[in-house]
Amino acid sequence: MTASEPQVAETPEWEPKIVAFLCNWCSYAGADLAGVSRIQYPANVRVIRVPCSGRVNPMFILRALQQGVDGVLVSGCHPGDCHYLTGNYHARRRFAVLKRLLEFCGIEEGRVQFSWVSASEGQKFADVVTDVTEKIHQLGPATRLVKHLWDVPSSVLAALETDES
Amino acid sequence: MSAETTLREIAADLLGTGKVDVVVGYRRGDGALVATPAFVSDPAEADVLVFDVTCENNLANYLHRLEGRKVAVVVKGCDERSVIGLIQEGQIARDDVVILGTPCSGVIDPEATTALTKGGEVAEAVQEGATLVLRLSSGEEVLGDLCELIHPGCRECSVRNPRHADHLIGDLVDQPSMPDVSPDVTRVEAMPTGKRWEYFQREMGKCILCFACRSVCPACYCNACFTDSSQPKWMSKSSDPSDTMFFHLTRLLHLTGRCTGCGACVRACPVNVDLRLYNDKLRNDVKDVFEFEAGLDPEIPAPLSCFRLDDKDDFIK
Repeated sequence: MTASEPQVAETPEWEPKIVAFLCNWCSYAGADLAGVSRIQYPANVRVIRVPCSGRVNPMFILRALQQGVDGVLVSGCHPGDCHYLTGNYHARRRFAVLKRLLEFCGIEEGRVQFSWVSASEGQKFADVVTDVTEKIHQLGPATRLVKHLWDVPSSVLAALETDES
Repeated sequence: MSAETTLREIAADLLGTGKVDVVVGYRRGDGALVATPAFVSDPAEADVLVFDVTCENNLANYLHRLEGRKVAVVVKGCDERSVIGLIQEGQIARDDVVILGTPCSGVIDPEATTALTKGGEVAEAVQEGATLVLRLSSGEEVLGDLCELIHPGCRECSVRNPRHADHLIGDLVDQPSMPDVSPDVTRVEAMPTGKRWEYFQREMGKCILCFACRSVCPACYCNACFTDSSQPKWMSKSSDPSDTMFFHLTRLLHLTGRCTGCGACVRACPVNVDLRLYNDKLRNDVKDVFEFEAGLDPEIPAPLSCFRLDDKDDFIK
């Protein structure tokens, strides 16, 4: 095997990567409805299905930002609709603090967003994703809180590849 | 009768009558300006106990480690809030702890006294009203204004007098009224996002992840901390500033509605990270959003362990 520069496809236009934590009972079903209804929305979200918005530990969000996502969306059932009765009420309190804290530390407003989308709101899901994607487009690629340790220089990568061969 | 004499008498009595197994207080440490935690279980040893402007440690930190024993603990107004917090969270039983509350007008900042004495060794420190008299080993006497010498956090203290004390040690002190929001928080909030990020980066860049802030915090009592978890590995302890930020943000989130602002972490930090700013911000938010202040009432649960149906959610789409 010969040492070579890792080839990264040059994209003409930057597209944000957005992680969406969707609760199984409402927002995930809402996303499903948007899909089966053939509603178009930007393909920037990568969905992670969670049992409840209350399952979303703020550390998930921080970790996602560390790993370089450009935006995070957390979506759950409307207040009063939680499958587990109170999960989203607890989540709401946690996110209220997280949002204020992140902005105080200088993470751009809009990098992390929250929404309530029910299983019948396919159109709302598409609208939310469109809004979030537009906002992240305006903000540009995430740089703050991103961990750079694994940005290994290409020369080192090349040396590693040579060693393995 | 001086406060110290009262303290020693009460401690000896509590131990002698078997009401408590141990008294957690302060004794003179290495040097006139150092007080160190003392654990007294023999009434004859109660005379080692001291209380003055050098007693900066938050002794509530030892309570959950002494669980199962009857403990009397010497607390300032701020430390008392930590004790109430521990009771509220079910870590200690109210009946197992005797609160020896000491009114306090602030504890002194060693950096400020060192600057005042220009590094001279202090042989004796005596408080005379609002003045601190420092007698140096060289024989020289330096006078300092106590307001200038106390920790910056103490200047903004709103709990100078304990409220839940079983025994009050010494006389109540004047409580100046304090602004609702710390001026430093207001200043940083007014900065543009980029400046706030620069400030956060600069402060976090100092951190060496020694976890002293965690060790001295009475609210950080988890046996297994997320920082030590390897499965899942929440946090790697690399030199990347992102990891340091992750630690501090998560630490703050875990202290939401639990941080009482005692300042133990600020004093313990060996590299002077501006932890006070971020703690203050957190406490302001908790007060603003949930109308809650930690450690004032053992009956009211911490805000993240309860909710209200009409909590604000204008930030949610």
